[in-house]
Amino acid sequence: MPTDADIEEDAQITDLDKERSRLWWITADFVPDGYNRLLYAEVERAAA
Amino acid sequence: MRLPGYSYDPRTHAYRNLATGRFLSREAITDLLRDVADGAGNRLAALGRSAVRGEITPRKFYELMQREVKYAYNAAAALAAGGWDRLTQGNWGRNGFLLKTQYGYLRDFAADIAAGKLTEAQAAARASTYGDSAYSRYWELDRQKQETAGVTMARWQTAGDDKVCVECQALERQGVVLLSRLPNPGTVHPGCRCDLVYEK
Repeated sequence: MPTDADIEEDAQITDLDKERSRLWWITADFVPDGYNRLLYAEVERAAA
Repeated sequence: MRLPGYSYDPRTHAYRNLATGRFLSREAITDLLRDVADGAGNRLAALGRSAVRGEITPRKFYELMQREVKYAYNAAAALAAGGWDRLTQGNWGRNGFLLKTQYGYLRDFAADIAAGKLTEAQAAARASTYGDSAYSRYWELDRQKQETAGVTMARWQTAGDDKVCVECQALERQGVVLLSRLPNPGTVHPGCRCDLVYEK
């Protein structure tokens, strides 16, 4: 089982975690069609 | 080809579809949140069943769960914040703090599986509650934004169907009350998918 130190480390949110979280949202089959880009609102606004 | 995207108005806390020019309703966002929490919950439940069946070790179960829960928390927070780029260092830090607590529970969960204390159904039900906690993370951040904007009153809104529990029915019957008197949806019982409706 993980130690307290493992848990402490696991709970850190790294840049890689942030990228994987974005990928998780984009590829999740339970995110309805059309909403995969929703969380990129700020990027899209800047580009619009 | 760039797909049509969205903009986010921090004043009204609303997303706008750039292809149609229309704002997304609050109901559309909370429906989406429910889909995501339920979808994540189902994936987590499948991990719980796999662990009890011995298809993955308890340690692997912990590892897969902790990643999935982290992604669900981060996505729920981004949804409340208005997109990935609106999440602050404080938001990320709060996610990490909350995840640390969840991972402690998750270790106990994995230990219970290792000890043979859980049936497949029990493990699936327990695992899916981590989807509930991601659901509540959205509401925690959403409430914080509303409070910052000066909102002090709200009402509890259930799905209004025959699945609504007694506790949530009672909260809804209170009508409009101080926001501080209402819990975050997702925390009242497993599978809670109620809403907070803010009153300006």
